[in-house]
Order: sequence, then structure tokens, then C-alpha cells
Amino acid sequence: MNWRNSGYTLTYVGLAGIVFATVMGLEFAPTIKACTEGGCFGAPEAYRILYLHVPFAWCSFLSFSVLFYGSLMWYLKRSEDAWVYFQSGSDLGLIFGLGVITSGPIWASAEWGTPWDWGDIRLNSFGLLSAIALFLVYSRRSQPDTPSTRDTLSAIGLFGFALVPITAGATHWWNTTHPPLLVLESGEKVGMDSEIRTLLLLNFAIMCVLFAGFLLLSNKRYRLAAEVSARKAELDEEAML
Amino acid sequence: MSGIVEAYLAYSIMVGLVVWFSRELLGQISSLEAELEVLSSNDNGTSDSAESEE
Repeated sequence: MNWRNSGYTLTYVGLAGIVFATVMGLEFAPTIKACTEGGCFGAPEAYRILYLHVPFAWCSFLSFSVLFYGSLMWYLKRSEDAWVYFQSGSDLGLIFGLGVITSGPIWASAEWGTPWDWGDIRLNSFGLLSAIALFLVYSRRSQPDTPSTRDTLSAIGLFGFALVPITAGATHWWNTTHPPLLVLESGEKVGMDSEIRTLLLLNFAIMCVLFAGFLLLSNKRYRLAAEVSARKAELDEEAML
Repeated sequence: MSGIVEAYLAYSIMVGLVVWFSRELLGQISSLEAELEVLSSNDNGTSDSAESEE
């Protein structure tokens, strides 16, 4: 079997996995205590959002890595294949980024009473990252597909990747309201319970399968689109002769 | 307020996004494959007629 066609299998397995992750996250994940020594949760059940929110965020970083690879390869090789990776990376970055910036504020509204903290570096840098993905997707669709457009968008793609380590390390380097750790029922201490960590890592593995499927299928789509455009151009040339 | 309603809402959005994206991808791939097939058959038709003219 051609490995490029395994995108279908990985996507279907990943989608089934997402259903499993949803049921586990909403119904079978451990319940946390409303109040511990560290304080009280505003909405303890809303913490279940993290079982998909966190894997979505990690997959968005993977997407921006693909975008970075596509941007860099476009500058180095100017190949159609590099542009295929650029397009897939920006699409996937937007999808996973949208998932993160919608589910995060829903949790924050329940827990903090406000959807967004404009002073938090983690939130704002991730918001900017998603805005860059949105800009790239819409620019690609609205601008003529010329080498100079690709150069400009690739430069923005490279800049966007610089935000990934800033976003990932923000909770370590600066004091942010975004939670780095959870207070859990099992140990009644600050840290992550092993059951929660296991489920979170399992969900991340599922999301990685889905991400791989999406990447392979998205690349296939853009390769097919390029082939269709090339065939049309050939037919136009033949008709002109 | 426990936050379970918010959890269901967030899951609906995230699952909805991946399902929608999957449908978009699969739909576009099948329509592009069909278009490519039509273009190839047009091309074959053109070559055949060119050959018969010769």
C-alpha cells in the first residue's frame, strides 16, 4: 500500500479515537474536588475540556512546525512540494488553533468568569499564532498564486513559528493566569494525577494519529489541485496551437 | 455552576471542527480526482482525434 494513501486509514482511526476521547473525557475521567487546600474551583467539571483542549494545542504546534518546514523549503528549493506542506500546515494550524481559542475561553468563562485575559502572554501569543494561520489561509485564497505571493506568505509563516516556543514556554518564563498545573482530588496536592496524565497522553496519541491522517490527506488534496491546474494549462496550450 | 454544560459545548465545537475538516478534505479529494479523470479522458479524446486525422 502506498504510504500516502494511509491518510484515509489514519483519519478514520483518528476520528473514531476522538469519539472515544470525548466519551472518556466527559463521562469517565476522574472528578476533581470543588475545593482543596489550594483554593476552590469556580466550575470543577469544566476542567474536562482540557482532555481535548491540550492535545489540540499540541497538534497546533505540530501544524506550525509543518508550516515552518514548508516555508523554509519554499525559500531553499522553491519546489511545489514545499508549497504543498506550507498550505497543509497553515490549514491545520487554523483548524487546531480555532479549537484551542474557542474551547479555552469557554473554560475561562466558567472558571474565571471572563473569557480572555488580555495581560496573559500565553493566551495572547497563541491568539496571535491562530490569527497568523487565519491570515495565511485567507491570503492564499484571495491573492494570485505567484512566486512573490508565496515569498511574502512564507516569510510570515517563518515569523509565526517563532511564536511557538514563546507560547509553549510562556507559563514557565512569565507569571500567567493560564494554569500550568491542576489541583486534583486524588492527591490533594498541586500536580497532575497519574490517571489524568494517562488519559491526556492517550488523547494526544489519538490526536497525533488524526493529525498524521489530516496531513497526508491535505497534501494529497493540494498535489491533486496542482495536477489539475497543470493539466488545464496544458489543455489550454494545446487548444491555442 | 459545575461547568459540565461548558464542557459539552467545548467538546461539540472541537469535535465539530475535526469532523467538518474531514468532510471538506474527503469531498475535495474526490471532486479533484473526478475532475482529473475528466481532464485525462478529454486529453485522450483529443489525442485520438488528432491521430485519426493523421
